Amino acid sequence: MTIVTSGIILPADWRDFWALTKPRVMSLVVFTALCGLLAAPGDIHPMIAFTAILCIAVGAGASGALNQYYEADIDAKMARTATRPLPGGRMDRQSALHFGIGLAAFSVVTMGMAVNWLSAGLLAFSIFFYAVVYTIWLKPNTPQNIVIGGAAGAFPPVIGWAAVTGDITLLPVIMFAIIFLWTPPHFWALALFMKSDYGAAGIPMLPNVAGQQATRNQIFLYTFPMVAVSLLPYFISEVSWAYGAVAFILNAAFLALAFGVWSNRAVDAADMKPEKRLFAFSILYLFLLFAVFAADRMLML
Amino acid sequence: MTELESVPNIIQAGEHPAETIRVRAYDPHQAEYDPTARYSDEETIAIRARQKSRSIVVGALLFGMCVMFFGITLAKVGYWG
Repeated sequence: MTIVTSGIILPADWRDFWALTKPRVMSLVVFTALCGLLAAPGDIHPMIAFTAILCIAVGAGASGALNQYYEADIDAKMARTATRPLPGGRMDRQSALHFGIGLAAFSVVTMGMAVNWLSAGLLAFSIFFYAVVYTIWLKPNTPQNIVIGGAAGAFPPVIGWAAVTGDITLLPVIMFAIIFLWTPPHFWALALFMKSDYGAAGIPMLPNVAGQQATRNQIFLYTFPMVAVSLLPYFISEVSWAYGAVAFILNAAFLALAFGVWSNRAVDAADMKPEKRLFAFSILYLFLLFAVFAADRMLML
Repeated sequence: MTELESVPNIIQAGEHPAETIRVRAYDPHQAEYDPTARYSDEETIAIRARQKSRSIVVGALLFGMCVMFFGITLAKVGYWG
């Protein structure tokens, strides 16, 4: 509902612009980008490194703002997103669009001029991929939306790496693949217990299209390539045994939780504790895996 | 979409369509913006408070950007580190 004080619409608060950038998503983006930057071989001036991370954060914020601009009508139908600035009536759509485009332009141009144009190009492509390919094309049209769209969230460590080295080698591609393959189990676990929300908004998430059990099968199946790829850096001797040991424990826990989801037959969201556990653990998994990866690489280099 | 819903800044105050109030949009970008509209003291205070907080945040961000670009310049020319 529109915020009305004595019959006027107030100008948007700065906190609404901040909310438009999806700060919680941005924190994961910043973290994985920082890990990519720290894991890369070579030296980078701390000021330039700070600028690179800031540009990646601002680029992620631009993606979030453009996403919320386009999805204002959908967000209004979902309890989880109905209080965002646009569906909440605290901001007009034009302001959100201008804000998103402004942030995108600032982040890409600054990255190009201060860091290098490869990382700027990757940043521009990731913003385009999230705001256009995922938000406009994939999300409303296919249940594979988060599989392909997961690429957008997988770019930050590659951008962080490219900011230091100016090129892309096998290791950043593996980091990309870890996040890419982690995204389906992470989001489908959420989609299972938020099924009614997505259904009300008309978004063709996998549980709504293929059913809950088919989604649980896919979660379990996607976990195996994710496990394999996350152990790959150890098997190609790019990290030490410390990463290998932590990755092994984290992956064993992830597999056990994914198995719990696979064997669950609950229909109501209230009975989906395995799904909620997997969703919560998947965030911790990515944080720990990348933290250990970056720390291991820094000690090796 | 009803005719009422299609018109921005019209808010239904009650269940009957006649029970509506025209909202005076403060944003100049909106079609219903009326530069001659008069606001009460309470409305003016609320608007000014938001403008002030936004101005402080924008000012802080611009200052931060100045410092950042100065730092980038020093790093690029090799003066700093």
